[in-house]
Amino acid sequence: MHHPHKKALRPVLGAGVGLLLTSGLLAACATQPAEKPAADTRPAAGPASATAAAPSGHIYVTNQQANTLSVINAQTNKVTATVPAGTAPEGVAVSPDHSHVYIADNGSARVSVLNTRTNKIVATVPAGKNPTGVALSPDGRYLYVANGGSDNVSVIDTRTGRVTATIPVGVSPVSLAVSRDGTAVYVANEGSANLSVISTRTDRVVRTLPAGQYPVAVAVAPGGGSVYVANEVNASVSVVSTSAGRMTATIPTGEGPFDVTLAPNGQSVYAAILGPGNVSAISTRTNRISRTVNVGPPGTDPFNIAVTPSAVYVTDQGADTLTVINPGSLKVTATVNVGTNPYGVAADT
Amino acid sequence: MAGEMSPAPEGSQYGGGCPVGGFGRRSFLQGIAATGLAATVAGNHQAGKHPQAGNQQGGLEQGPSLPAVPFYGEHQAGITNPPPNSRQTVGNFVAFDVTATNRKELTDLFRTLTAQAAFLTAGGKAPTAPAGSPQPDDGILGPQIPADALTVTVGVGASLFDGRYGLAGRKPAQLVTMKPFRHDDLDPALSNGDLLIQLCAGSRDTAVHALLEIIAHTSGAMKPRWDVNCQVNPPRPTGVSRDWFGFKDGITNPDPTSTDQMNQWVWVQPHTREPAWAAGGTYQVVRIVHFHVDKWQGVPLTEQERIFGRRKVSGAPMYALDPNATDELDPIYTNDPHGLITALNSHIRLANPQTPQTASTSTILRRSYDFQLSAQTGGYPVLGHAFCCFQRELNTYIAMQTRLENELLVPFISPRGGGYFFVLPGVRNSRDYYARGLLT
Repeated sequence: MHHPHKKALRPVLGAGVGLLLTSGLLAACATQPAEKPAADTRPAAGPASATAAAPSGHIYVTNQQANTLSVINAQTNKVTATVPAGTAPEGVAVSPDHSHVYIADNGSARVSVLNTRTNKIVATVPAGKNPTGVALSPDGRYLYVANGGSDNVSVIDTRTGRVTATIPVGVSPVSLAVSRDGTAVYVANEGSANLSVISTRTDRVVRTLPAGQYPVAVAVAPGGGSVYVANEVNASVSVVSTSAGRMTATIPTGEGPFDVTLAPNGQSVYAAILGPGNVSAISTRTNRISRTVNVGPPGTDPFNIAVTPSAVYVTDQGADTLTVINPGSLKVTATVNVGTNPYGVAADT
Repeated sequence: MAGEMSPAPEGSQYGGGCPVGGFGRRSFLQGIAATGLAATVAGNHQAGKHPQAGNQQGGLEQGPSLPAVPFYGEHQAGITNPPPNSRQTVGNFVAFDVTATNRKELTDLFRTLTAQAAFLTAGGKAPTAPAGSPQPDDGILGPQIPADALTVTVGVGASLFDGRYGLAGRKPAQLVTMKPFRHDDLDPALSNGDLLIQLCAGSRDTAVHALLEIIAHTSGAMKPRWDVNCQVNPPRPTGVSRDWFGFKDGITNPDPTSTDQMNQWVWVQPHTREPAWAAGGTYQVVRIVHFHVDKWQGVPLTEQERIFGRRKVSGAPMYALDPNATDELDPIYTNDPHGLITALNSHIRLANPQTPQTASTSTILRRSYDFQLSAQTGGYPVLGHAFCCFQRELNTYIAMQTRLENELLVPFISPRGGGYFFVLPGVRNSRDYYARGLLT
């Protein structure tokens, strides 16, 4: 799903590759025609880039205390670039056409936009206070930013680089996910133990769903009928029925579930569990943990997860590493040294 | 901490050069009474034996003695292996005013200190003299002085670099006299000093003996200014020791076994802004902090945990609900901007807010002890914390403590004394001595 030299001030086309929904949305993108091509009017785009495809096969990791973004070759698991990236970069998303990476700069209330051809920050967009989670609409047109410090969500038009809406949600929204059909954004409100559901048509909160204590991550099941919520201070992942508007299952995970991410095939949700240092695969069919892998001793702190068809990537905040896990065997296949306190991770494959 | 621990007016104990003998006796009495260990083994000459010390071979016939800690090296001992792991559950921080009248006498003082420290930390036969003479050794440890993991760690205060010894141009770049932080209640008599000697050992008598020997051999060249005799409580039930608030203290430390981390965070490096002689040393902070335990007891558990930012029973971060959770889990606040899980002004979050801006001022090597003020007359027991930490840059600590000025714990603590010191580089071998690089 390459869209060569998409021409846009901001990337236009493709799937949302968010902190939480990396490859599921890519799958959705594959079903969509390139309906919104646009001219690349960015001055930085030179003649070479006008004809070259955006790079693919990369993993992007934000290093929260180093203020950098690590770019990793997914084939070799080598860091190919380390890019200065704002203050306290946290959530990260790749545009569906791989041309841009969006980084939530938690410490400076901005989103940094990286051009993946040049590996340079080409724009910064003001967001709310303490932006953490970011996710793109399936077509890549809109970036949703959870501003934990200002209790709202910024909607950024990636074509213009402007904030088109600021939507009040619950207390301390730190993570969000877009449904595969792009109609809804689910926002985990850490401080109000619930989820806000934003209609992307109206950019308003249309529903509130229950969650456990301190929900800090959310993932949407393939059909959109349920969402998975990591309850950090509840040692569990909740399954919330979006139709019934209630929790339908609570899956014990161990202390400190911190992230949930859907697999591209929709069969599993991967959960990062801080306390035991585990990554658990939850079957979306049975809503039980099917397998668990340990990524390190206490203090390793598996933080955020991105999933591609061939790998599960986990940032280890306490170990300054990225763990690569085979999604089939759930065995660790590589450990990559990145920057200080890695936080978010996103993949373009 | 003589002035502190006495019911007499503070600061009166050593004024005008209190005789050495008086000091020694007072210290000895404090040593017995001030430790919780003494209460558990009262009347037992093995007082100070750690339940996990594993030195059972002697039974009641022989007191515990831990192996010697090597004295010679690039760095001084007594820094990188904090108790309870090192089993040095007894501590004594003693500050001195140097009374040597010139540079030569100061050099002699450091040579004497070196010889004493080398001997005492290795252990050996106590020196004797004819029975008709005063004995050179006080006999507290019997005829054979055990090593008992004694470490003698010597630091110098900013005041040593005044005009007396011509050292003004050689002062470590960041060494200053401790200024009070907001809410500090520092007693000048309990603060600062030209020298700080930190004694750590497996048993109280070992530390007391070392202190008395050092004082006896250096009289005329320095005199005690203040001291804190203190202890590290045993793990209850596991992991890091608890302080008098019942919270595990000193959980977060760089890895002392990592040379890289120690060089990054603790040891002054050569070719820096520090004088060349200072390489291998480190800045030491001691803070004598009273704990208002009676007031603390009235605070609900959930509020106590909010004030510290950790779970009380487990010592684990706030996200961990299991009382058996390990204290090795890292607190995480990066997704908690309002401080709803871990309060923004909780103790641990202010100490290390986990932001890029504070990353360079959030790592110190903690080695703190606790004390009970002894020989009190009435009132609630006076309990406190001898906070001690080491860091490559003193400004790291100052920045951290400045962040903590308005922490939620403020109403429950009262910093009364202590000071900033520069721990001298290690004594390399038997021909070397403390401060040789500074003095030559």
